Amino acid sequence: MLALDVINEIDRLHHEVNNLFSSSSASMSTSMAPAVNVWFTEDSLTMSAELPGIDTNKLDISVKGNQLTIRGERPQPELKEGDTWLRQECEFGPFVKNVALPYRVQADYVQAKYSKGILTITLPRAEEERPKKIAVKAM
Amino acid sequence: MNNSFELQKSSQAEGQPALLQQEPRTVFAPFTDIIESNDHYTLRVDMPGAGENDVDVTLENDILTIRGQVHPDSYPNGRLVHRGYEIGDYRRVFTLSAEVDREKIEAKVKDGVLELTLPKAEAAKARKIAVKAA
Repeated sequence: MLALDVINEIDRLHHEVNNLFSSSSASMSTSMAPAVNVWFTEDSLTMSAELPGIDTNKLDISVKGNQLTIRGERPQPELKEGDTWLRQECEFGPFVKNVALPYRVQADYVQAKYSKGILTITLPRAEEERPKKIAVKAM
Repeated sequence: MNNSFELQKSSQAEGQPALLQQEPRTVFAPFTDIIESNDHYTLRVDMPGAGENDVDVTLENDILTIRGQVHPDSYPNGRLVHRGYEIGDYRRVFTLSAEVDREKIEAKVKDGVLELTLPKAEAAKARKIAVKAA
């Protein structure tokens, strides 16, 4: 019984953290919202998403305050006359991902890389929000 | 991405965040689209994280085995605070019908997507049959 309570608590905490990173637009549109992995250091935040086969010309990454928005599209494959689908598992079409960041970032220094179908975005923390060390002097 | 699930140990490089060291390697069955055209089949296999050197396509008898390995170039700095998706290798197996011309199979990898073109053998191509008035 007790073990189950602990698991439920951890689950609840897990969901709360996940909610920070889930797309807020998912309920308003039928476009996809890719899942992301997020790493923190004191100075920056790195996010990665699996986005195979997207059109990089249509990829739009924007930062406003502490909100990051990623927009893009995976083009529908063209079927020629006489073609039939035998199996359809991959997802196509537009996607939007809104992420609420835990701090403001330096928009000018955001870096994005797309390689092997993985989009990696690094966002440096805004100077004024970095933790500052306070020197302790001996009395 | 959890159609099939096997755990394999892998050797991890030094210097990765402790959270990710010595994790058993998950293997996923990648999402695959299959389209049949008049004279060939097209397979589109989603394997984000795998480049052309990481993908292995093997045909033995009638069994087509597709494998993709994911080696992140470097783990990002810092600690993982949110895992929206799991990282792992890919493996999927298909049985080919006699229709496929095994010598002419082509494979291309771009942006994490493997595209396989499997031409149909001559005998299997769709043929239009002329209908004459009797």
